[in-house]
Amino acid sequence: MQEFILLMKGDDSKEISPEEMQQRMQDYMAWMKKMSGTGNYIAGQPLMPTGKHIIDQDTVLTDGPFLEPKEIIGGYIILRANDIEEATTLAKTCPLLQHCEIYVRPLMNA
Amino acid sequence: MHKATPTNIDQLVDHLFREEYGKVVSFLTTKFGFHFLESAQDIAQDTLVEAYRVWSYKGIPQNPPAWIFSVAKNKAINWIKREQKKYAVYQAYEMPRDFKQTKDELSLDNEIQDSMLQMIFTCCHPEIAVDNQIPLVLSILCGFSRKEMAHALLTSEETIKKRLYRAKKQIREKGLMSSITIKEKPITDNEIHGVCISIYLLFNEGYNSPHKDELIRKDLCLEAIRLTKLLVEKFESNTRLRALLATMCFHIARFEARIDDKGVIVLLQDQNRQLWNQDFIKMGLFHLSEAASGHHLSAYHLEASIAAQHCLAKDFESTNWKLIQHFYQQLYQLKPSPVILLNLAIVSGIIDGADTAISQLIRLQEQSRQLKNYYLLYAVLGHFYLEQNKKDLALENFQKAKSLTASHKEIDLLNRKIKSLGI
Repeated sequence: MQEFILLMKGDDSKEISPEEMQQRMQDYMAWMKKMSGTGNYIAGQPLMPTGKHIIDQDTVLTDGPFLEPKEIIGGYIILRANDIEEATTLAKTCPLLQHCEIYVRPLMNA
Repeated sequence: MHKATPTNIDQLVDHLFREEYGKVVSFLTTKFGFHFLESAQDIAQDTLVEAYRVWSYKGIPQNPPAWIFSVAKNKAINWIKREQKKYAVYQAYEMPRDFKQTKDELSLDNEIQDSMLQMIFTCCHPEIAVDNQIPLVLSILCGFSRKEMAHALLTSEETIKKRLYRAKKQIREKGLMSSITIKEKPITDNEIHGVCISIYLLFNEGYNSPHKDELIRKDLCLEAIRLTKLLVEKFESNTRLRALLATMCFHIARFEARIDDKGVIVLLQDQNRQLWNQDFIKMGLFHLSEAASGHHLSAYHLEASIAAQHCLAKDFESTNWKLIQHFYQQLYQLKPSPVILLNLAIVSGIIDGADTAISQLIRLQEQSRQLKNYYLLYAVLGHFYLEQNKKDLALENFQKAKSLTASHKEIDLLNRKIKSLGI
């Protein structure tokens, strides 16, 4: 078993209606519950829309607020899976995929 | 790092976000004035985005509405502080004296309810064109996005945007914000009457829409019912409101039975009465009996009484058509519309036979300019000719009806009728 980080890219939540938001949340929670039940889900968190971008010791930029909501990394999820193929298959079932792109990256086991 | 906590994941009440949106926007707008509306809408949206993100990961809190409300209130306080700093020279917004206080749940609930009523009366102000009232209600009280409104009302987002703009401008410029919360100025029955008209239109927008998407239509109906319930809670003894609520309950009870699984209209005589929602029928009967306690008889009383007779009948044949005829006659006295005459013709056809109906319908066709081009008149004529086995005349009328409607559902039904003639 290996661990994978799923990075969610894109966030259009400013534009969607309350009803859609609730629907999405319920879909996502149902998915998370399923992933927890199978032991695949380890953790996850949303990210604040703004932060810092450190280029070097002297250059720290404020990252965001983003004009292009497609560029925002909105959150991450950590999954446990046998290999990258299984992690990808699982990520494809995530309902958030309808509204954002997902990067799947294996965590290196040191 | 937050660990998965699947145990506290629970389902939310249906449409909770939408309802809380309406509460937050109404509350803030009535506190700070109508010019605050757009900021209130931004704050409500921001709050729900936060709820969506935080709850998705941490699970749903114990009391979701309280969570939403306190976050929204803090956002509003910060918003005002920011504005006050920006325009330090003059006080851009004044914080209402009691705004920061924490209140007990009951008095806060009352305050929120009053603010929603105030917004309903404002949105439905008789000076605002009805076409503009409905998007305003949906946007402020029901949290519909422009896209959802355009979809539900079968128009473009651009049109919705214009209607909202016009309505809001009118309210601002003419100072139409309702003063319902001012105790010295009680709401008149006339004002309630105006609101009834607007809300019933919203209901019918859903109920009679040619929309293909049944869910969206039902959504509009349920929102109209929700708002009417809110009004009934406040104006308990207003029988007109009760009667309107009863009417809507009886109609919505039959919602599912009116369309078959192929999306074609099912006429009343063919509906599976098992599909009628008994909870709504009971609710309708309760409010109708409450409505009957007053001395005033409104058109809604009669519409509700007619709908109640249908809902109470075991089947089409055993329906009390005589009583329904009597209600329609009374309704015509109150509201002399040719469409009621059309309904009366149908009822007398059921009681006295096809001949009577056909002669009445032909008279209506000759005399009423409104009915002359109404597809339903010809659909009904076709129906009664078919009963007499005059297939050629039935066909002619069904085709005429088809040429007068743009609704796919109605065309499908007429096509089915024409096919059954076997000509």
